[in-house]
Amino acid sequence: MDDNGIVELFFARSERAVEATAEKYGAYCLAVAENILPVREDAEECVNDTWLRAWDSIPPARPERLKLFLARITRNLALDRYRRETCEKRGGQRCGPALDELGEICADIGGVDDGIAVRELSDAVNAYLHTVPTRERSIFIRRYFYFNTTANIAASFCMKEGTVNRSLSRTRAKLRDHLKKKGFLT
Amino acid sequence: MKSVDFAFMLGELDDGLLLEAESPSVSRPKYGARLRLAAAAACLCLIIAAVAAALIGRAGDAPEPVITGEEPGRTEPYEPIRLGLSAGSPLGFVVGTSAEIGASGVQADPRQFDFNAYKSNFVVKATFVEALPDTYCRFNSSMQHVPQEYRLIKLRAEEVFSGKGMEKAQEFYFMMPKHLLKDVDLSQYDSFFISMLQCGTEGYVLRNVTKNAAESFPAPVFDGYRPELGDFIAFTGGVFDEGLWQHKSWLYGYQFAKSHLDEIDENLHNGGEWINPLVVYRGCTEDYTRGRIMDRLGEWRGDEVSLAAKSQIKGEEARAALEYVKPFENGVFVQILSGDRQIYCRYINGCETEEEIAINVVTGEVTRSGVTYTEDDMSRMEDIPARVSALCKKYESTPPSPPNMDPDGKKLVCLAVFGWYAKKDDTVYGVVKTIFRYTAGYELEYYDEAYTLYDAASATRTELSRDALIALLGERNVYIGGELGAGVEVPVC
Repeated sequence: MDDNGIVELFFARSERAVEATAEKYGAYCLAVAENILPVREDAEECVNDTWLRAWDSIPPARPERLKLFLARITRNLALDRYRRETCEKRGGQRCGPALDELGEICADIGGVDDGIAVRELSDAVNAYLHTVPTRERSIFIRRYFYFNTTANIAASFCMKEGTVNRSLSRTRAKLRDHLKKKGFLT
Repeated sequence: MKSVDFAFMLGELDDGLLLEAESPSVSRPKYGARLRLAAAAACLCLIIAAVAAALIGRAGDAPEPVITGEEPGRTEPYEPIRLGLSAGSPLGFVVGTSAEIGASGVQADPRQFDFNAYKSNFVVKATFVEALPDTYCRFNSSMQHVPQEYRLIKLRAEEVFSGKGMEKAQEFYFMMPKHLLKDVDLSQYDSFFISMLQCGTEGYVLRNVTKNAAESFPAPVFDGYRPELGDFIAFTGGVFDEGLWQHKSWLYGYQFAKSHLDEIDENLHNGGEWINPLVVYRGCTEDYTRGRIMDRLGEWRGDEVSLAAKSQIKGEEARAALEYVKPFENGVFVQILSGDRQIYCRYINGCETEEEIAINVVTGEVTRSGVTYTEDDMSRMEDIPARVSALCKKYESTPPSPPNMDPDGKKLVCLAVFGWYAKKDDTVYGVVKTIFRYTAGYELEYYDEAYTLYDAASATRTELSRDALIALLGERNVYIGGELGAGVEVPVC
């Protein structure tokens, strides 16, 4: 069933909307969650919660790209669980190394309590990424949006893992400079 | 700011950037001759790479994977209109057909190459019995623009690593995407380790595309999430046989597997830190692979999956319902497994109806949709597949005009036609829907649709609007979001 058909089912409040979504995007959302949470059961719970969130959101939302809409929900739920479990010191999450790398960029950025407007920050990152060569920004997104391992990214792009790491390091450094120029760094 | 908060913020990245990252080698042409030149150069590189790969293959070496960013079998150039349809079939409880037209861009999912050894999957060692010659597809794929076609292979379970109720020596069918068997003879391998999911019990019904008929199968039916991504491993003489993945049609998965196989060996598996998704390395044995799979199954905390079977259904009402939906006794009921429920949806002439019966295997509870089709209905139903077929034939020579917009200056990128049945107040209607999708540049998309309603009893055919259809039959199969024919902005990278 195409995405429009699935969205129609959501709007019609048909239970088959969830079945159709799970059938089409279950494996995809599971992959997104599993990149963040190493325990399959946790990842599956996130995916099941994704269907509930989608059910609650559509309508009124009418996602133009259902796949990305679901990916964002899954990612946020998985990160949320990551945050909770890190607080509980369960640790050992898959996305840990990627988050450590992001720490290089955001360590000097204030939090919401410091008056940082998340929307403006997000716009600044989006604007910066549009200036980066396609391959480098795709590598950046695969690493920090989808939390793919560098080995997996290397395989996808037919590159050596070291090249991926260098590309990521370069993009992070430039992004940090960009955010500094825009006044986000304290 | 904490890095996890920063990661949350990255969830707001533009759709265009995310799509671009998912399909790394497919970039949308944008502005300027320089980029077009670069795209042409990239195409040339791909052609050279493909020729080089072919030459390497001819030289007898293992083929190098060619990364296209898309899957084999779905890499056709964009075709605005593709009408492939055979003539309608006679009325009755037999399957007709539906149209599949157009193709939307297919993105490669960002999934790691992996063997899914989880207790939520059936994980077995199996031997090959036979490959059925025909091509199949699911009934409920008729609304997809590009329905997936399958070949069915019959296998025999030799060992069951995960899956309650699955017995040794049990025969089952596996739905293999058709393109994966294009250049592969599975009988040359001694055994397979497979991770798979059950999609139907015995009596599961599929559409036989070759014969244009419905067909049911005497053993349970399974499928997998893209077996070429590691869930189907071949062994010859008890040793991992990489040759299966090196077939041209399996290269989409092999491009990921190869890089892992190149890097890992027995030492890394046995002594090094386990960072690789594979459960095999070059030259490893079945025993070794079995050990890796059992390790992973042991790490998983969830419950083991159970085989669904009709024999599990208890209770008088449930047994009666099961008898009612028996394949070809009372028509074609397409089965969906959903948790404890076996759901059966009636299809007539290959077209969906709203008659649905759900049987809860645990409680024996039966839920019905409230609409029932009878033999009497069959004699007064429009032959919708024939109508769809005729419409497609007409569209091949005369493309239709969208009812709610002016197509001038816009490019038709997708045209789809499909039909279904609906029953209301004892009248059986056939509905045919035509979907149009146009683009203007890369920034705007236009979506439109047209409906025709057939009532065979009164021999009437009515063109009607979306609102009129909803008022008459409700919202099933109707897109109810947004204004038809209005331009919708598409995020551009």
